[in-house]
Amino acid sequence: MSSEQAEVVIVGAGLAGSIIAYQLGMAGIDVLVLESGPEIPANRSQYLERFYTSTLKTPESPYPPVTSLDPRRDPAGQNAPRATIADLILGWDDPKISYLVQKGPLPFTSTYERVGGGTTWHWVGTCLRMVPNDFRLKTFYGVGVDWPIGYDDLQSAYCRAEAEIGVSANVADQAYLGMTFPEGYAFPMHSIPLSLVDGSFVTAVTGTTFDSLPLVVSPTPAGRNSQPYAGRRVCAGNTNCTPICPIQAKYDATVTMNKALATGKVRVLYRTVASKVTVGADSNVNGIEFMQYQLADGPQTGTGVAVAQRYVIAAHAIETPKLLLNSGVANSSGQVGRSLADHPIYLAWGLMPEGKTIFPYRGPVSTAGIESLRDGAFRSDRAAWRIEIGNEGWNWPVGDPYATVADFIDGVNNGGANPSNTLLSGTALVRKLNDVFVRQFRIGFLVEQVEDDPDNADCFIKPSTEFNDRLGIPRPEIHYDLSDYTKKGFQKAKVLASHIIKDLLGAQELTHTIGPGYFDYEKEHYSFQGAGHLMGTYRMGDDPAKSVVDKYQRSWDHKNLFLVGDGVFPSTGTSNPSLTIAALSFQAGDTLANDLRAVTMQVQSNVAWQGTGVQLNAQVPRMVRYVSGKWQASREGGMVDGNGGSRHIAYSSYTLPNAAEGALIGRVGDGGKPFLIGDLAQLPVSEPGELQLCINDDLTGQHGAGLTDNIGALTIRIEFGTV
Amino acid sequence: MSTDLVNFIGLSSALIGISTEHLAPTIDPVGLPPIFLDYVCARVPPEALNALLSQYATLAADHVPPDEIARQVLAVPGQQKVPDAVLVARSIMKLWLLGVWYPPFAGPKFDGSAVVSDQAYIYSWAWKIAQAHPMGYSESFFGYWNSTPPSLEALTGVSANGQQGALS
Repeated sequence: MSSEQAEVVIVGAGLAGSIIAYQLGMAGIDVLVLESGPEIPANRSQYLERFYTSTLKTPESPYPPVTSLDPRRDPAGQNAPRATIADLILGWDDPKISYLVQKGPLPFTSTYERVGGGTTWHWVGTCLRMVPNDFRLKTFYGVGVDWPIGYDDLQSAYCRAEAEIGVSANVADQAYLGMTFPEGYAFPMHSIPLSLVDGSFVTAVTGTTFDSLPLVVSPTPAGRNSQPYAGRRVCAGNTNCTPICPIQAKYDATVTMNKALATGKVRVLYRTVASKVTVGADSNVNGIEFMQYQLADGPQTGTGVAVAQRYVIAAHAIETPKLLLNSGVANSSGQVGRSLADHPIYLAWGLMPEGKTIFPYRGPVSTAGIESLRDGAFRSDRAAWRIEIGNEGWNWPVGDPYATVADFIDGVNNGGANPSNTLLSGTALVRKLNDVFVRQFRIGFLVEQVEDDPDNADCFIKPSTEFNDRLGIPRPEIHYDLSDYTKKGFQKAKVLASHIIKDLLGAQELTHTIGPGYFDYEKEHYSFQGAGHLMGTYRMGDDPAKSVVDKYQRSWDHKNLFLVGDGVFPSTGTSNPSLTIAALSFQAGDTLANDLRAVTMQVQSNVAWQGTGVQLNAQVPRMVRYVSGKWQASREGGMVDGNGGSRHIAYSSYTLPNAAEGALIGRVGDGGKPFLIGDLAQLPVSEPGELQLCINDDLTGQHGAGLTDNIGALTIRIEFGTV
Repeated sequence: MSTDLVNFIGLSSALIGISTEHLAPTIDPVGLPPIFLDYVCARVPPEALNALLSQYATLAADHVPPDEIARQVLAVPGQQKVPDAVLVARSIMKLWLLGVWYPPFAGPKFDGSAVVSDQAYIYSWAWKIAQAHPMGYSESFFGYWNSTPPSLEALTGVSANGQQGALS
């Protein structure tokens, strides 16, 4: 058994793990990442080749281990299997086929990756923020669970996440339903242009309402370059964000992980599956055991334990609770694994009227949505949703262009565009296919999933007692169902979809149910699709009895254990979760860095500029927080804290003329320009150098006793993060 | 170029309505036709393919128009079972249009279909017929999706009925 040491061990090299690793690396902290899957490839050509030559072009198709319908793979023979669309097609409820041991009553239809870079390899890139009321579902609407934080608490972290991912959007388009942005804020890049498909929706819905709420098409903020950004190219509209962007114009977590590795403080062990979290007598985690392999279906090649001061599990809403439950840790609340959620999707599609061409299969997979119905009083009654407008024709619902081409060659109607089973060939075939393809569209309603009784959730994961992977690790057993509240959201989605398609677009609706996710609600039959948005299962909260982590994503049970990713979401809202995952990861990274590297020191009142030993740079946001103590710059000013007193003196010999006398002042380097800190301030990053601190007083004694009559000192903390 | 290849290209062109100049251009850096012919030869009974090629050669020699050749080759007499040669012809059509070989005599599901190669996918004709590009292989530039694409005729040589699209 090998032994590995670092200051922080992170399980998972996906979005959350990469961001935290990078932040900690920049803070000079030694990090070890354990990743269950293979390493980040030097380039994406092999993944791309696998996509091109795969007949089953699912989101997982480019990535190892290979997924296919024939031959199928037995998950019991793989070292790091994952959920796949092939599993759903071949037998979602057969554990000999499906990695997830699904107990129903409904299938869980979302999938994920276990490779370096995680599932961001095949995310669409949607970077919507949650709307403020998403955080207060219980308070405002009497359903679900409130978050222990609100929109404003995430504001600066959202901005950092948008910078790291590289989000293209315009603030004016995104300031709806109470969402605010810092004064003067601009997204890193301008918005992505709308597609011709989007344009037809703008024309059709603008000025109309649904349930008295306006229908508004908004450009979607996207983690996709509209300008060269961070050394990566501009989007070329490959219409392939899922399964793989061929040119990495779309952000993925390998970008951040590669930066983390470049700090020289981060290393990753690939093909290393965390198998057990162990806890010492002091209730702190004291190690993470792991197993290693070389070949996806080959023998185990090693075991070990990783030891650190802090531990982070960043392995998604299924693998994280699987590890915790297999280890019997962090679960005094009984909520680990509970409230598994997705954004189950109501998919609808149709064909524009004859002669009305919209030219799909062009541009990013989605460039706009209808976001105006994400919040409203209706949330007391039924689930909210956002509507994603697709640019990929019927690729998702029927598998086009394949289905329609085969239909007109074989004289059948699997795709829906050939109801008279016409056989065509030659130029007539070309013309007909063209006529169908250029008029196709689809929309997807991402429905908020809310449990009827969130403290006794119907959806949960637990370790299987029957089925293991090749390493002998119990696989996740999934119990999944949708509440009536969620189903009612589908009911409304169906009504609006048909209204938009038939009444507003004047199009022919061809929506039908697609398995395996079906349910009936009030005598109507529905099907739902997975969004790939795995949420819940280790939620954050204010009450240790009902939540797994606190608002800092720290385990209530083990103070040196952090659980990150969208498993911490107490409720799902309607926004695609990655941006919020990234924002929360920045906050968790701050907390971890502060645990290990925050500098607490005394600043003396009777000494001029005092060095802190803290080097500032543009990559690591830092702040100074007043902790305790009082000091005095003059008898008249009296004993004050870092904010200083009421006297403002303009003498040029003062540390910062016109600032409050006795206030805490900072500068960067010996010649830096002084700036006010007070009791709390973000530190400037314009010039690198050492942070120095000083009381605001007459430094040279030109107008009195100077520093010699000062008394007292302040205790301050130089932290990581943003105010 | 072998006679078989000439006939294969001509047959394919008639079946899918794309000219031989488009399927097998004089300067052809991709060179799919011989790859496709070899692929098909290895996977269907020689008599079925030979029957198709000679039927095509005869009709072409008689100057039958390509669309009419396709109709005759694909004809299913009466209520009969679809002849093997027609099934093979349909698979050849899908091969060109989708880059995928669907074994002509297989069942409907998990049928052993395969993408012939990355190039077969990238240069399959369904995408051009959609006035688009293969998903995952765009040769266009940022923002192109906000404008009307080149016409069907510019992309495939086939004019659409009353259409659509800018002149390229």
